Amino acid sequence: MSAMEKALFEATFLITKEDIINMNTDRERLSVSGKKKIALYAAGVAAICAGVLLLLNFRDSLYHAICWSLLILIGLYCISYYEVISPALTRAQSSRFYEVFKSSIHSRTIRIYAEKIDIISEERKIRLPHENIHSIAEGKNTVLIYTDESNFCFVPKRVLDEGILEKIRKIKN
Amino acid sequence: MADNIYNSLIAEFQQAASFDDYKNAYMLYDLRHGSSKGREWKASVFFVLAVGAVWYASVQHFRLNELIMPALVLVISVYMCVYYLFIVPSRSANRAERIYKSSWYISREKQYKFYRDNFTYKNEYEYQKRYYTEIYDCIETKDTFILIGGLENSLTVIDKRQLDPKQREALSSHFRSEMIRQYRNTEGKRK
Repeated sequence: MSAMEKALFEATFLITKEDIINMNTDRERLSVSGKKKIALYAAGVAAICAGVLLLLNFRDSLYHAICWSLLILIGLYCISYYEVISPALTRAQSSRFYEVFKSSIHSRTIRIYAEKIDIISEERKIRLPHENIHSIAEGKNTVLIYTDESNFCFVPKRVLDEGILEKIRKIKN
Repeated sequence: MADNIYNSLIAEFQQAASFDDYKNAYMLYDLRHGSSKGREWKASVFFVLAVGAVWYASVQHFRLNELIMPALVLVISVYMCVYYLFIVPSRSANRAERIYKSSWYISREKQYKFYRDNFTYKNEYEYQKRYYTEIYDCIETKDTFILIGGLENSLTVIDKRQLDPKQREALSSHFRSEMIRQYRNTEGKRK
């Protein structure tokens, strides 16, 4: 890393519990395609409508009533999975992860240059020339810089200003 | 971290992760911690549901008006069995291939140093230090050591075939003693 090259942007920050939670919820949200969400939502709505219709017209026995009620519950589960259930599970898991590993999570410095991004902490240093970055994904609170389809470095948006965020967005466009 | 008497060097070597090693390691990681986790017991549950649906239909003498729910349960259960037993592992293998081929970093040679309390790897572009306390799974297979843990890049694959026998034994016994709860040997009995 050349000491002479001047960084366009530099920030040092401590990774907090909220950062870990936001990173995982954003990653979860971004990894699911829109089509999958729509398909599950549609299946949920169909299950609820079918369940309600069948319950109103074919509840001649307790068994049928239970079956159609289960169908409605499955529909409700499908509709609420990506918006309520999955984020809640992710928050709980991320919280637990932070509580267990917080002593090994250190402060981090991000330096953005014209041709690369450097991310430096006590436990990790990585130089990311723009051409070696696989993709950049922007969530609600986090920017995820992917080195391949699965592995990434993350930066909370709270440390970035709008100008540098715009530059980061252009890297892979 | 410098070598010192409190954190002695166990092994030092240079190697790069091959595609086959990475793919097998990723599939094991996925089986234990990813989307393949629990696929066998999930497939078993759906198998039982499928058998139950057929049994229920037979108890109802396959009467048409009683067949809708059992038929639905049977179709969904059979699909889910096939999904967990065949589709999920195939997707995991494909994902491993896509990750390896899309990464500029995974296949690059790295200098590994294993100390008593932590290990590091580095090359021209990357430096990573990881403490064994961050590792939540350590798997020794016939050909590799797989270390799983960490915040962002959680899979480290070491090819045993590229190590000399002393290094292999040193690492193996070190992992067994340092990561008692996390260590697994897939070759046989856990020592």
